[in-house]
Amino acid sequence: MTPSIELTWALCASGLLLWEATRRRRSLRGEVRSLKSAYESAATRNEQLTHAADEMGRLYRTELLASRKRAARLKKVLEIGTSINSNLALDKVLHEIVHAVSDAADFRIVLLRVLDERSGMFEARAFAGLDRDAIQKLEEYEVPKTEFESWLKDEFRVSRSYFIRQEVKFWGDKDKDSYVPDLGERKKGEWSAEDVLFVPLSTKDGSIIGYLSVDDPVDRRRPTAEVVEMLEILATQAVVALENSALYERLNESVRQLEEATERAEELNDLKSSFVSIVSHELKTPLTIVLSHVEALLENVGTSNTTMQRDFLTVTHEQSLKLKRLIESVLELSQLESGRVRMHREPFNLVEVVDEAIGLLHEMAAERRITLRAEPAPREVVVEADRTLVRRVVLNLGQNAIKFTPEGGDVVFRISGEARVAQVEVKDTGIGIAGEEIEKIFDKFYQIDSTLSREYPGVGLGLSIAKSIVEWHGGEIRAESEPGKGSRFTVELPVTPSDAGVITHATWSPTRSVSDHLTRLTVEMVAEVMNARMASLMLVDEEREELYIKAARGLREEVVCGTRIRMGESVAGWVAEHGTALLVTDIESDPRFGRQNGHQYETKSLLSVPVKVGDRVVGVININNKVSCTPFTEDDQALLTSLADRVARAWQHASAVDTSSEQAEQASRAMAAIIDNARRARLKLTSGSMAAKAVATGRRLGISEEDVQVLAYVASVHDVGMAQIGTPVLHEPGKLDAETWALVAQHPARTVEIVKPIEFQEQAAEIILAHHERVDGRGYPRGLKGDQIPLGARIIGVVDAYESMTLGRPYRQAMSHEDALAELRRCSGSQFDPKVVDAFIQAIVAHEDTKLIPTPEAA
Amino acid sequence: MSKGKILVVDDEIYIVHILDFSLGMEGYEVVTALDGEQALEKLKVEKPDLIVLDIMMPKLDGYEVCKAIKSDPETRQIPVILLSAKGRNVDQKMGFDVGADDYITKPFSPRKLVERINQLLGQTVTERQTPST
Repeated sequence: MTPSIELTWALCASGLLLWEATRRRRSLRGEVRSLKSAYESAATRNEQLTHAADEMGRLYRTELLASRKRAARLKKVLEIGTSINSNLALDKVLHEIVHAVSDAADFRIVLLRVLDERSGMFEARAFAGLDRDAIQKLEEYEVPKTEFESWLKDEFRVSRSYFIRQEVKFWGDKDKDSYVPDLGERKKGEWSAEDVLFVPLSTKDGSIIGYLSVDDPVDRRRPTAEVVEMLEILATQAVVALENSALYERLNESVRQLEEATERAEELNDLKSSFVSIVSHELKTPLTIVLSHVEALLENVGTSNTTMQRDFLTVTHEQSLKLKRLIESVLELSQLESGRVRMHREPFNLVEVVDEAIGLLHEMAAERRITLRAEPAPREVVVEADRTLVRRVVLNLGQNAIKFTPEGGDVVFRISGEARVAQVEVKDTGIGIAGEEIEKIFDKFYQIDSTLSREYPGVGLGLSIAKSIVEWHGGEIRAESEPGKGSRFTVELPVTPSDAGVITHATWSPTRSVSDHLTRLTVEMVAEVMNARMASLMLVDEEREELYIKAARGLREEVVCGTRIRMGESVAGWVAEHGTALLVTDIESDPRFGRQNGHQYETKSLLSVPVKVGDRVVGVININNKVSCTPFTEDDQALLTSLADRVARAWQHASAVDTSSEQAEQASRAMAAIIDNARRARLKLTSGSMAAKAVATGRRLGISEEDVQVLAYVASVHDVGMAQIGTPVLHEPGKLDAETWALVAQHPARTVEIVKPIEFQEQAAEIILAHHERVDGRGYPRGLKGDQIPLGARIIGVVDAYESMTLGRPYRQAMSHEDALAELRRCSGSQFDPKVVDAFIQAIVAHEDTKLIPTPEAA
Repeated sequence: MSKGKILVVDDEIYIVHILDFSLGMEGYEVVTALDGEQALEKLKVEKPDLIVLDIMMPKLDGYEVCKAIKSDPETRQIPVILLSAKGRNVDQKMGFDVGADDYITKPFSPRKLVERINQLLGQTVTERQTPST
């Protein structure tokens, strides 16, 4: 428990004590008052009064004692609530709570039911004042959620609780299984056995997780508001206990998963190293043979022993071929297993593919005088799979069958298709496989006996490759055999990929492909460019349909490790499911905002955007707590969306098969440069407002939302290349010499070069390159004129000039806002596009009024 | 006159062949075995002067065979050269632990192996015999 929660408990406990004491005091005070008035009105009844005063004193003492006892009980409940750590303890706490309710609110009978999410039933979990029979009855009868909800009528509602009088009982005989206590004779107006008073146990986000129901009040009276209030305080306590217990369970579950994952990783690692050692042994054997024979041949060059030379050359040739096959197979297998092979699924006729394979195997079979045959099959069995890979499977099984079948034997192929599954069967009349060996035949390099490997040359990877391919397609491969009689291999392929559960394993997955380094850079870049104190990157766990935090800045470690959000739930889950960005200006009023981790949000505004590879959402970026403490705006959303697209680009580079790690490296460097640039910009106090100013100007000029995104991004990165020019240039007073000028003129091109690895929009690069062009054609680097300069570049040009004028340089005094605007107007038409200057001035004046953009004076 | 008798043990037939050839050229008499069990049988009958032993073999591996040779007073003086694709230090150390006299990793040079055998048997390098026609 954190200190803050303990503190909350302490406050809560003392609050309750105080409340209890005040209640008693108030009632006693009333009594004193009435006694006093009796004294004043009847001075003659002195004796009686003294007696009454004594009585009052006694009463006060008893009440005080009772109060203390009750307070002690409450305190205990609260204490237990804080130390809850297991399900066992949960039952204990619930028990304490129902007894506390019984004592404190003066009800003899108390029942607590908890909703089981899976069954949708309210189960009886804790009882007070009930005998064993009653408990059993209540435990047997579970209240369906729908029934419970039908009780929640406004007419029964008292505060957050519900009181249903016997007179209005509306459920008739439906509850004949539930328990009605025998309370004896009751007068009209008194609490009746069939009166129902219950408090829903609801969490902060409003979902009901159980309810507390009471019966048989000691005073026989129907409840007062005071009693209901008391019950509700205790109900809150029950909610906390239940939630703590659920949290604990989730924690346990996470720990278990972590352990499992570690185990799996270790197993994989073991497998990998044993694979490496086997591969190296298998490769070395033919290599050794080749090298030793070649050496012997070299030593015998020129001798007349031609038989030996021919023999040695034949061995060398054969072994070289074996080595080649081996290397190909190992590469093929490792590619398959690393998930780097791209699967090209297409519908094709399996019958055709098997025919092709038989054609290719013909020669090999003929050499061994083996008959290849296909059993009559349907004309067409269509599957949606990777044609080449499936043919590979059939070929490997065919080769395997031919290899282990003695001369004159048969190898038979059989194809069949059902609604969901297609089957290929390869049957031989070979040597067969003994029962205990059958499980191992799909292992790499497994051949039952090494003497067999001489007789049946091969690399021992064919079946492993076949198995990998089949399983990748979500299918199954199995072998049946009888030694001496033959074997039968059966492949089952799902007809459509929707039946193939494992496809996602081999396809692009951020968890596998994106390094920790890159995710850290992503978060860093987002936080720096967006000026947010908190930034987090969540990745989609497709298997479990959940999001988890991969990296974050400004979040506590336990939150990073412990947060898992279901797809569709809360803001990030919503963003992941819909694939669109979400700007929440007030987290407290947004229904999608889960209560979870709410305390981390210093400001009420939250921005969440998806990271998409193609159409697939692979992650979500969240930012919160702007350094400026202002809410996020649509402009921020445009910028973050743009950044997320570049992030996706960088990740793709890091994971693509056909690119070298060099490209991943370049993507990382681009991100690092952007981070660096954002930090430097902040030192110069531009505080990211450039993007906002550029976007505001662009919007006034009516550019599309897509262009807004590009503009926001370019405004944040357009000077990245300046860092390479070096700081002395920027700090140098006076006119620049020709050499320095040439350097400065390069910076747009430098920027383009640096961000190129994560750039995918031609227009972004164009804007960066042209942002120092002038409409009169006297700008750099290309001397473009007027409309030749992209509009985005003309906008950036104006905003950049304004920023640099108002912020000043070490060698130049900062200008006032008004002077800067005057300067822009003066250069309008020569350096700047007049249309853009107008739009900019309008935008900045409008923003000045609302103060959404911190002006340099304010910064 | 033979320079000595060498037992070559390897489950890879071509390696046995090439060693047979190279050692034969050098003037050694060569006997062969294709697995560990066969090696121990041949050992009793042939009483070789030196053994070239592969490690990864079916039935009985090279380490086991070497251990057996080195724990039998009758055979413990016979030099054993382990020949293996296992090239890590631990593999070599294990080889020497079971009493091997030398450890050569694959791929190997038959010429170097012959030189090593000559050394161990105190033989000088003989002039290459002219191969018979």
